[in-house]
Amino acid sequence: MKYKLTLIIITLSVMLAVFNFSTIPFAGGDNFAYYHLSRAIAQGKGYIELWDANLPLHTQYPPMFPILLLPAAILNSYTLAKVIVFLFYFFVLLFSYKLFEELNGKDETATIIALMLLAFAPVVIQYSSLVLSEIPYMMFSVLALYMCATKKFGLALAFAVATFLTRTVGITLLIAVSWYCWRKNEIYNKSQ
Amino acid sequence: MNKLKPLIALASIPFWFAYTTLCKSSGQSSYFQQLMYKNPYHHELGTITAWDMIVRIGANAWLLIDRVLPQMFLRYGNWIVGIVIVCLILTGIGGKIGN
Repeated sequence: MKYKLTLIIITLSVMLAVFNFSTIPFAGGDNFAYYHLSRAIAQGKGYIELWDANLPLHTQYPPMFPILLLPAAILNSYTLAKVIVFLFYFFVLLFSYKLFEELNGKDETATIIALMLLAFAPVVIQYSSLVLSEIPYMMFSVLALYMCATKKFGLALAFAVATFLTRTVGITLLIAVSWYCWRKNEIYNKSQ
Repeated sequence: MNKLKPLIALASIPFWFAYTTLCKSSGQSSYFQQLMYKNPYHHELGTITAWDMIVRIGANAWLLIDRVLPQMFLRYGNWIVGIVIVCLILTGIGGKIGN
């Protein structure tokens, strides 16, 4: 029953996100920067600002998201960049469910309620196809937390670094996960 | 080696900030500089003081309660919804720590 319900929630959420999907670029501007940074990497020019005549090195956004957009930049398809973000949104739903399941144990109701709150959050659906770093940041955060919950500390640290290299604010999660892994390792060593 | 892994992960922090500081061109601001500006779009207004920082933290905390958290789930909401969400989060964290 739980798996059927989970499948229904994820399917409905994905359907809402598909209805929300539009190939028209977001007018905010950051998406333009991410896509062109990715194009610069794809063209072998390095991490530079193609929109500036002086072609300076880019130092504001960390490089992880432009690297993730590389397939779209190589094929010169902005729509593919949107599809990549959409795929990350799907992974967010999937791994959030796994994380909630891990944290809630036998309390299936709590897992389902938490998944519903996430899957039908208007902001999450709205950002599911925008070429912005929020959704990949969310994906790496959820993955880092899931790996912590399942005691795969090496992977947890790797995803925490990816979180930081997607959005600088991920520094908070990176410090927290590093400290958690350090402490868990100490406790494990003492118990041996 | 297991004890080294967190340190290796943390090493990415100074690496990234060193890159942003050393490689930024004259017209660019580093992430930290932008954080400290009164208005990142108007550098001429100068940087914030310690008191400004406290005021900003308070204003941002209220923004989270009044707008960000309610709008995450309901699209439209007010501070009462925000406080309910914060209480639920704190109850959840408390419950976890209790267990």
